[in-house]
Amino acid sequence: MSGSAPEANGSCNGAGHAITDIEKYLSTDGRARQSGSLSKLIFKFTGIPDVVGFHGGLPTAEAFPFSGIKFSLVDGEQISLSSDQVKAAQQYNVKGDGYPPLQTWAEEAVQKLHAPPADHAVSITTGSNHALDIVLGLLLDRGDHVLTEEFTYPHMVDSITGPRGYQLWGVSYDNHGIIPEAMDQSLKQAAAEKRPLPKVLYTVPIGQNPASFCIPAQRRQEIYDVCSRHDLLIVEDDPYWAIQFPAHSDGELGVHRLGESFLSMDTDGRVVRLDSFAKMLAPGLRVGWLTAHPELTARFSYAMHGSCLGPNTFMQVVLHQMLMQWGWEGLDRHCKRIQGIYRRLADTFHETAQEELTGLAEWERPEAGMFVWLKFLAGVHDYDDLLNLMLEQKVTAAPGSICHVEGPQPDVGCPWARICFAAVTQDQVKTGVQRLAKVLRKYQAAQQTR
Amino acid sequence: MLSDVPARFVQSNGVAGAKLKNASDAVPQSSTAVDWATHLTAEAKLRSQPTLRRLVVGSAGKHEVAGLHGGLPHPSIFPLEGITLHLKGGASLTIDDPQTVTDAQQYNLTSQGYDPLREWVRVHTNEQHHPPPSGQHDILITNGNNHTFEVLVANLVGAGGCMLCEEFTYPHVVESVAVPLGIRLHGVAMDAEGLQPDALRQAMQNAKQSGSSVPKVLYIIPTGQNPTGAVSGLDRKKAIYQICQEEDIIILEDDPYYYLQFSTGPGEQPGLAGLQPSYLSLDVDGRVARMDTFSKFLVPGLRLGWLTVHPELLLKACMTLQGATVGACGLSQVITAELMRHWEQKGQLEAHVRDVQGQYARRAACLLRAADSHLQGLAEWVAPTAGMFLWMRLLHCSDADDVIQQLVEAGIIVLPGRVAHFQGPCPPGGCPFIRMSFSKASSAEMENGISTLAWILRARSAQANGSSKNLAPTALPSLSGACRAATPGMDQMAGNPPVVPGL
Repeated sequence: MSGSAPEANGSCNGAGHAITDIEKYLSTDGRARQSGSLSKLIFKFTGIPDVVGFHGGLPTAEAFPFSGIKFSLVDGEQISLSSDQVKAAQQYNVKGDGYPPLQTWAEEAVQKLHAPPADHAVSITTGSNHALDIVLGLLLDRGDHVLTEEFTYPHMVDSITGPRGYQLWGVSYDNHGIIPEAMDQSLKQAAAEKRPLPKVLYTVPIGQNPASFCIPAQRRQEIYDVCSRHDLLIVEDDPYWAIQFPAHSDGELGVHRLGESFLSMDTDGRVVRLDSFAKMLAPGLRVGWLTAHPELTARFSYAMHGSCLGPNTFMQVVLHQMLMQWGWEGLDRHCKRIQGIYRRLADTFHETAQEELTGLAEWERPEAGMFVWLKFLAGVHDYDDLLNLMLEQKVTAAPGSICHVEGPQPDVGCPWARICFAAVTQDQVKTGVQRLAKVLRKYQAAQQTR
Repeated sequence: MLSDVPARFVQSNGVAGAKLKNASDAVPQSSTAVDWATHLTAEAKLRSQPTLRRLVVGSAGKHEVAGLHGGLPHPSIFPLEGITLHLKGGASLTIDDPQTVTDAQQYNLTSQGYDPLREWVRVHTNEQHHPPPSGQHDILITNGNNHTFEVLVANLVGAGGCMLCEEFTYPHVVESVAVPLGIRLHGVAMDAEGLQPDALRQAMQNAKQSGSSVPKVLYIIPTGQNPTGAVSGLDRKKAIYQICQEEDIIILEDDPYYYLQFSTGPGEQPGLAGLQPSYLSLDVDGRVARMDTFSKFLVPGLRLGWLTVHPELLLKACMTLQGATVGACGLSQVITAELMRHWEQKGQLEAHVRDVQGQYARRAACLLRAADSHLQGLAEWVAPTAGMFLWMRLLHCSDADDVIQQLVEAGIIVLPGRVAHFQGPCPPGGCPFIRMSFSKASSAEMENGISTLAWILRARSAQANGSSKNLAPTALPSLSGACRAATPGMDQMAGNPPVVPGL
């Protein structure tokens, strides 16, 4: 798979497939999205001296209750907002793409960490779930297709694509992600049969949910090339990018050695990258950032602003101050700290599993994210076979079938489970694995006595 | 402890929560109760409780279970340890209880929002509105009213659907929701008290006769209406509610300025006890979806509000909210809950609300004084008693655009009324209204702005009369060159926007 030659038709690296007109990729909703007149007025006149603003419905800062905002961090750092920051933190967003200092930080981060080759723009988001919801709404009409791995992020299926009526197109994958040849073949066949083609590839390339793989650089380029050939946009949803802990690495990766994203190889301008502070810092903050073709980012921020008036400014101001005080060094330190925590949990899982589950299940040691994709052996046809025993032994996992693009299919059977090793303590991981082993041994014994 | 989900967040089915009434009390059924099956969109019907969420909630609090199913990050990685908020007036609020600080940074563990906040909201909403028990209302914590409106539209109207609204309404609703989703708006005429009952009946009649789909949802802003400033009294609300019962219309009560009711006269501000009754307070059928927000009376930057609505619709709204932002921001919820608790202990919420009402009252009074002294015979308006807007009809103008360019050049920015029309931003026919907000400008700026407007209107009136008799002796107030250079031309404010990079 690795080192394969470029396709004979010479269209490697997506050359000649640069996106010039974003309109043709947009859904009906996406095409109709404009910045609202009221928002435009507010954005236009914010910060301009000598203007008497009778236009906006922004509440007066005199009515805000807080005069000071201070945070203390686990690492000992103290954050204290200036009086301007305190006011900004309590007010509505005055720009469509987020609190300007944080948006500037995000632009610099994107440049520093990905150096995208094509024109792009960055917007702060209300977290990647909402960003995904909005992006798919801008690109897809009801009935349109999304291409993704055969097992994918269950929340997206349940809460976005299902209700919105987007069709999911599952493709086979292995330990390194989607298999490019399988994807290419699938697309070619559909084109030949004149079936509708997907407009978007959705993937979580690091610590994929649920299958937990990481797509290495060479495979990424191959996947990118297939997308370029078939003119798909790539939604790169990367919440675990900073949570990498490869088995063989000298020291933790920090923030500077996280590898090449799809965005970093995006010569066409077809990647929409979703970054989030949720797993890197904390989910309760509901803040992230999006990078895409400038026109798509513009539509995104109109849609986000139209949806909820943007991410909460309070968190944006606090986050920005925190990132300033930390500097890149501090962020690097923080990433190394959490990578260490996840590594220890992953190692505990893997070592306990080797002791307890060998012969009863198959898995790969996770190298990123929060999940292990466990395949039950011991004659298990579907996770459901184990339900009663799991209740009895007091252990739970997520049934693999809920992650399948077509949802649970009772007649097919899905002997996988998604194990989250990262939401619990080391002891809980050990206990959980031991109980799972007991479940499987009991199941196996019961099968043998039949 | 084997579960990562604290026991106090356990809920029996993951959805039902703190009902406004004790569940064991007998609930009388309304004869005009809503049949939700006929109101929910196709998308709403496709929403069901996600399996994973059911798993997470189902095993919450069961300490003996080794829960390896959920995707919640472990609290040991969270960066924040404590928060201190200094309040105006000198008090301060410290949040450093480890569990609370953890909750603030974690995903929402209960679908309907952070329990301590929801409990406060439940008690407060009961006290303010005394919702009729037959409505069976329940509470959902939201991201504020903009997003909640989008969520309700997705579940009740849908792309290509239709909806009733006030003739002039919140511009955002038209441009950012209705237009992109192809939703047909039926605008209903208003008077000084807001939406007119007869006009509502007529609009329904017209819709039925036209043969196209009949609207089943009314979007209404009953207090400090945006943009007209109107406040609907109880009798007006009763009349409209009755029509909605007859026509089986769901009422989306968008009430961000509810707490910003004020008195510009010498008396006391209304506080919390003297506020106009809401549609929720009349809602025997459970057909009102009331949207409340912390944005105007507290802090817009927290992006937080709550929805009070019948459980069947609440379930759908909750799942939609989970699908969008995975619930409201945790830290915002914790901060707000702690602040409310802190204030409650000292009766300070009432004091804060009165203070805010007083501020808006003074601002309104200031703008009205300027209007009274400069604009007699040039414009017409009704003095507002709530919200932040003064809605003004310009005399001698067929459309506000007649004077907008000059206003912009003078550095005075107002909202042309056409932007707020339900067929905006460029409705057919002229729109001689402007909306002026009194929430930000200083008193000097108000005086300057209104006198400039007066000068421009007098010049216009003179032009219209073809004589120079009415020209004011004073010249246009002088302006800084920087202001002239900075303001965009009129075409950038008209219906065809330029491409604004980065927005």
